[in-house]
Amino acid sequence: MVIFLRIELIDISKSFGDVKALDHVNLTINSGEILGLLGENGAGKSTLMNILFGLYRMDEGEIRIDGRPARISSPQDAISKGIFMVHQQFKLIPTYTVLDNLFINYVKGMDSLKPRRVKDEVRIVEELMKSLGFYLPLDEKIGNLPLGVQQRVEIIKAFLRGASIIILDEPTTNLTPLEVEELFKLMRDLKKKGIGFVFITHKLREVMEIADRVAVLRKGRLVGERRIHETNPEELVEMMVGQRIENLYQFELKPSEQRMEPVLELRDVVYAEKGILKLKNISIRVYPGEIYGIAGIAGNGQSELLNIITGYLKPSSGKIVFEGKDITNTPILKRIELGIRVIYEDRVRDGALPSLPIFDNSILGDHVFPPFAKGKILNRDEISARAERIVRIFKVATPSISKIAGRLSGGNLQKLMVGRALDKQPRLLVAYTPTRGLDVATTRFVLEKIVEVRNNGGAVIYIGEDLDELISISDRIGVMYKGELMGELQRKEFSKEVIGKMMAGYRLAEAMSK
Amino acid sequence: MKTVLNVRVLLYYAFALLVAFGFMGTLLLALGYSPINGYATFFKTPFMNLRAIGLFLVKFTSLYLMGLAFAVPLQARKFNVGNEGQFLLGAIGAAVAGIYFGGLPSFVALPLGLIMACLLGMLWAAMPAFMLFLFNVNEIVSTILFNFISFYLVDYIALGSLRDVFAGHPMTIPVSNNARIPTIVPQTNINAGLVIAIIVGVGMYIVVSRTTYGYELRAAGSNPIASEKHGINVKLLAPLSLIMGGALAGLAGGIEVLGYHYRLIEGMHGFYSPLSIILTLMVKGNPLLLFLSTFFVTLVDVGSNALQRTMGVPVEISLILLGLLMLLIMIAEYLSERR
Repeated sequence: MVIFLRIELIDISKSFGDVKALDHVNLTINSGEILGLLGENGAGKSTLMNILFGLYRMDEGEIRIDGRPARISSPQDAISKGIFMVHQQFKLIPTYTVLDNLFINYVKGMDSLKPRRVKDEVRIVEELMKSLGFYLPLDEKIGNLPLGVQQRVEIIKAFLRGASIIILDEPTTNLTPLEVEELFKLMRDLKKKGIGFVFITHKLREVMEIADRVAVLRKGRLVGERRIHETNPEELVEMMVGQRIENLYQFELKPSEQRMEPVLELRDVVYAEKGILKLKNISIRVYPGEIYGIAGIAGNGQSELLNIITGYLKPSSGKIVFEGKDITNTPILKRIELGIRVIYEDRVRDGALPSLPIFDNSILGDHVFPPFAKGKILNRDEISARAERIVRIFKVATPSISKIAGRLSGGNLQKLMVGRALDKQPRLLVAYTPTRGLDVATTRFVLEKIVEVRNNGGAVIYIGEDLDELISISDRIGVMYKGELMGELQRKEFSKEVIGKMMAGYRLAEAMSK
Repeated sequence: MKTVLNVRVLLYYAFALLVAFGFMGTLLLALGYSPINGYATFFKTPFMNLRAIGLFLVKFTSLYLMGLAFAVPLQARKFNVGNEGQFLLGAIGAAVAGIYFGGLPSFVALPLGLIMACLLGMLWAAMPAFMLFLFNVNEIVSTILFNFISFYLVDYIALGSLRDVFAGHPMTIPVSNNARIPTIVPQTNINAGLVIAIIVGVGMYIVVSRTTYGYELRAAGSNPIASEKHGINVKLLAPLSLIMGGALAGLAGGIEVLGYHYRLIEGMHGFYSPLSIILTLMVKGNPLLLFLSTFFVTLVDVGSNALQRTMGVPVEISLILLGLLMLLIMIAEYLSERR
């Protein structure tokens, strides 16, 4: 049913102004195969695929389909040839149902004036769902569905419209681990039906798990291509980054001093929202010079925990003690003044002021405190100095600190957010997946900075979804499940297996014994 | 820390102006008027003598303060389309105070009139602000509705016990001499209200760009969730910005009554509110650039009135010109932001 396609990208080059985004790249893409397209931020992965999809025009080069030269000057061209792309921002209509979205533009020309045959549409989709063994709520509005499901709608839509090749641009960035599993299953099932995928990513582990073949781009050049069983993560990292990064997940954790007063103590914290318990009797102590990792699948109370510590949410009962003082009712700004710094989970929603320049962004939360404010007057020199410092130390790529933050790339914006939290050594740092969407080198850099906070005597709560990261930098790990702490592990007890079981709802003792 | 204004951006704006005025000439030609005479009338009439300049500056003052009344809440992404009603309430406050307390010495009566104007403007904005604070009522809807009430309040005062029975149009008796804003150039309408507007404008620029209050306003406007998570009281701030806007619009009304009409006149708000919104959006609410855009919009308004008087060109040409210009500025912005 699926038409076999062999696409050859030959000597593709593309510049944006003075920047050479792609430099004579050669790549072959086949139906029925999953090609991992790997590279750091700005390596040219998305640019290359946007050219294939007709969104950008190449400066030089040629695209051949099944050996014949092809002209692709718009997405319509690409789609008519069986090439589809699923972007990070989905192109779905939130107020329409799943079924509507699946069949929008399904028919062309005069046929689109005919009434829809909803029954036939439902039958087609239901058969497909049965044969692939998954389920979509056809009558639900897209806007009410989780991102993972929306993504599946996009992929099925492409399949229904006759895709041979589907390009997925960083598809796992906003998914929970479970959703990633489901995505991979769908990809494998569609591969069996003959669909080819291009999987754009910088996550090695995912490429190793799903891809048949991997191509690595660095600074606009194709560094190499490997069959997946002929390579290993170390080699791929070296190809991506251009140098050997020894022990990606090894950090120097200076031995902490004797346990003294905890910096932060949560005592039996309970939080309920609209009658639903989000946090159940959480008790945690975090000591100076310690990274306390919190593992768990997203949505098990981590956000609420973070917001309780920052003061954005008030606990329903229980106590929060910071350096011996009860801060349960202390407002947010006061807590910032005490030295509690936060890296929020969602930089766009919770962290950035997108329409304001970098320098304004660099003091959010500190804007009422000296040296940035003297009384009610802002000190522009001090603000500039901080912004310059963050841009320099955290390597935010920007022509000036006057640049509007909303126009920074995701990685650079994240570096700005991390820089803002770490510019002044925190007493307590609460970080929620601060490496999300960052490439390998930047991830390593951000983790190093967080370890530095710990080694300088700060306390850190690191809420993570990536176990490798958590295990590499934490002194202790607590696992959350449905708003509850399933137990705590000491560094010497860390085991992915045990933590994984606890994430699925087993208590420490149960997880250890099984 | 410079504002992002480079040569290319300025060129785009200049080009927008050029195209708009070029279009005006073409339009005049198409309608059978001489474009040369048209341009001459348009640009010369507002400045042909001191009297004309005086009228120009009176309009400039009111438009500028009205623009500011829209610009300050705009920082927090609140749209104070109610500046019209707040202007009228300010005018009522100034007129009533100027009549009743006109017996007091000037250094009491005049400030009292202006303070009353600000207070009533604030009061008029405070009601929608409270509704926003308590029930999250959209300020665009509520402030517009308050505008309608204000029109009838003006009628009530101007046709009530303070009515000037000798005038054909609804208006009050004049305010006492002691309450009037002194003129600064004799034989003209150029009055100290202009100076007040400039001082207030520069003051607002400082508040918006150099104080923690202004920072919080801008932050709340840019991303309310992030602002709240970093300790900014967005819920309180947005209504406060509306009330501040009310004070500014009220001041505009007060200055127009005490510095120019010397009385409350029905319909004195003219097209101030829509024009003020246009000129504010042109410069995205920057209080300093607002001087420029106000100057320009005043010119278009006065110039097209002159075109109508002397050549019979329909005054609506000003709206065509401003609409076109707004469009071109948006295009220019798009072009200058594209990389």
